[in-house]
Amino acid sequence: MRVRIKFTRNGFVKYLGHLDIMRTFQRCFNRAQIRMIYSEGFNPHQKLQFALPLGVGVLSRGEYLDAEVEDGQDPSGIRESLNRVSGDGFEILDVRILEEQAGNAMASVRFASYEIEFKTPISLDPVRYLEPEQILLQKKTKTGIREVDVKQLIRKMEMNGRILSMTLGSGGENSIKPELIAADLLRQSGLSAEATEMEVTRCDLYAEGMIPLIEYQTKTHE
Amino acid sequence: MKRKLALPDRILMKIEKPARYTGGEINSVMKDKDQISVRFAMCFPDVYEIGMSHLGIQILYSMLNEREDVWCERVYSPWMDLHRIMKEEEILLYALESQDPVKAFDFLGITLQYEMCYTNILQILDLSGIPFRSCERSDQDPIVIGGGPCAYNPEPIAEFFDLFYIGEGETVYFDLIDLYKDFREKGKSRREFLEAASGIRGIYVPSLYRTEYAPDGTISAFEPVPEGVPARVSKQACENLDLVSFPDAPVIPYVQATQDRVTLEIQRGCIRGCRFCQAGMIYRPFRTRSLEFLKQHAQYMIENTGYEEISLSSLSSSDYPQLLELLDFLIETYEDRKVNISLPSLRIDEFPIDVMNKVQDIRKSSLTFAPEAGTQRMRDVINKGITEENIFTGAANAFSCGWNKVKLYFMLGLPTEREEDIKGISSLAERIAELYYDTVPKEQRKGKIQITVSTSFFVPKPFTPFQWEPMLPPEQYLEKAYLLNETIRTELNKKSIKYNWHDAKTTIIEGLLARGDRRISRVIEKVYEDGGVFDAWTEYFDYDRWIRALEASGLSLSFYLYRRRSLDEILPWDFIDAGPSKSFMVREYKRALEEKITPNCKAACCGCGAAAYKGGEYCPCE
Repeated sequence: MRVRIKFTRNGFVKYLGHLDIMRTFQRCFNRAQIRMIYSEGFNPHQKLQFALPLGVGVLSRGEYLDAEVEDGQDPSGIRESLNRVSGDGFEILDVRILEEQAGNAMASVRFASYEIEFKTPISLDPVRYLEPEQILLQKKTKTGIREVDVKQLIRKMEMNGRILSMTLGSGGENSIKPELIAADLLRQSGLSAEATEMEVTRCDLYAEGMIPLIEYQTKTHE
Repeated sequence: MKRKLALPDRILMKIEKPARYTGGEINSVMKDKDQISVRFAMCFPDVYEIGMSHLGIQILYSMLNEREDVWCERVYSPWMDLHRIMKEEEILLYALESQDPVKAFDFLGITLQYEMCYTNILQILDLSGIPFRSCERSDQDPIVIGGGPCAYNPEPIAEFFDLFYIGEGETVYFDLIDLYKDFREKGKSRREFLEAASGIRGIYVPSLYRTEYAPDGTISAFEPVPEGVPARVSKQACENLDLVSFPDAPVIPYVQATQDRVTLEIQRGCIRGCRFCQAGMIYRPFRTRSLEFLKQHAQYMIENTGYEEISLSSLSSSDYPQLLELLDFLIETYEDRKVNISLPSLRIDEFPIDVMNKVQDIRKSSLTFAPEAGTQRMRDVINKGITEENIFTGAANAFSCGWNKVKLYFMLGLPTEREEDIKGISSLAERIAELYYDTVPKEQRKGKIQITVSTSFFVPKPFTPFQWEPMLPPEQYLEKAYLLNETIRTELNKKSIKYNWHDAKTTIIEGLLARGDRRISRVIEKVYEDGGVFDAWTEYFDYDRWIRALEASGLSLSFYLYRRRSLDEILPWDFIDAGPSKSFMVREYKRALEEKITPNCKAACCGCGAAAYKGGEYCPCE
């Protein structure tokens, strides 16, 4: 049975790498004594699938993980047992049973929302930033540096006090880091990203139609 | 409650693996500073992933934190990237749990697991803002304690420590802490505390001893200065391993540790008595934990950590009397949860084929054996206690179980070594390769045999029968490695045999530090001041820096390494009673030169002297 787990990454655990978080959850399931389904073969491992790995240093209120468990009938029980052993920073917010035909978390992601909090008062103009037809940015990929038009990827962008919120196209080829856009926006206002202290938080992930991943192809609680 | 971090985000974001430095791991212990009276910083002087793999720290951490009045925290060496930033920005080294500076602690305990970490001790002191030398410290500085196997010759680093704890930590640590609390309450000075501490058995306070040297550089006298300080220090050993504190909930690192698994220590000591092996001597007598104890605590550890692998730890796991029962239990209990079992330190002569068959279906990898020497004569000299027949039977067993990858460990430069002993390693590897093709029918072979031969160069260690032996200059070690390499290249199965050898220059410095005296502390300090740190890491080790420091100190490798010490010379570590007596070492040394083997503890007691420590599985009753 597959369950989808939504969790936070808060405080110092933001410094963990993706592989560290994977290992952390494997052990978490074991400590919580949740019976897992294992892959076949010489080196069986738990079947876990994370949606959209997050960079080191980014906080999150909306991380997702799909796990195959032997008994998923009591999602809130799973949530409670995991929270008892998950340690500081990782809070399990919700656990839902996935529908039979549901795609995995990674494949379902279409959008991600972020908040960037600037540590000092700052004046930025996202409306003007979005005016041009194209916004071309250099993006580092595995094969080299590629120029992308991020205008197509920015679904929402607004400034409230010191907080810049944005919703970006995410998943597969169409991903862009929010820090990259923030840096460009700062540059436009004559500021440098290196000299500006800010904290990035991922708020949530969404499937097509801006459905939050926790509600996408999952069964609602009885 | 949000834990504070010592380093700002700006720094954490520009260093490698920042989670090495943020603490907060599962099972790490947080306490209220106002509710405790003694703060202990426990340090492994190497990078986090290495230090977190070490069982000893977990044992002491758990034991000290069982006391309500003590908070023990962990400290590791900052990697070079952070080291530079801390020096530049004058940031003090801090402990992981509270993120408070080490300088504010009552104790700084440093475990000494290998000689090549000695410059890292100075890095820890330097970054903590604690003076290098015991005599330069004030009442405001923590009491700096050394422990672990290298503390059995504490002299090369004696000046850097206020005291050494010789032997197993479970016996007198609480006495030491109680004494400290008492003296602090009474407002006594650091010096007064150290003098009183020297009265606790197993505690060595180097500043209370004086060394005198003869014109030829050897030690002419070593004695305590104040009256009442004991002339000899006895190592500490637990009598019953079932009755001591056990780390049921070890700290689980977020960053992957080198040994990322549950470590279940099944026994201490070793029955074998290999003459090159310091661990085999200083951890005597051989003591086991009961099967019931191990079953229960294995369960606690697996439940408390969620690890998917358990490793049985000891110097020679096949010598555990109830190994089969223990493995059966672990396999049965954890089959569903897919817990792998790993069995390091297997002897080729006791290759438990039935056991390995059970363990192997979970994971199959290469098998490692350590024949240590290539000819029977050489193996008899070192008292390895295995014959060629043992080796071939063991290897054949492994092959018929399905293994086709074998790692073989040997030493070059052993006492009395001849050319034929070196070539013997090659021929042994060749015959093992041939054995594979003879043992495994063609249709059952899963590819070619793969043999990896690794050689290290022999380093004579204190408290071994070879402690008087000379070493060789690095060029001569390399000649031996080249000879072996060339010989392997002439073998029929040369393509199946891969050969690696250790760095000869690192071996030389390890040898210098292993048997050095107090004068060597100057050399270590010079090396550190010259930028030397992380010498256990090939990318940072610099041989020339050591040679420069040695020469600048007016000392020479020929004195410390290239001469045979006489049996009546006062050795720097002679004042320590490590269990086996010096007369036993002399006896074993002579037997080695006569190529005579000595039976293991189980076969017959050889009267080494460790029985005085009680609790030995095979020691004679009094």
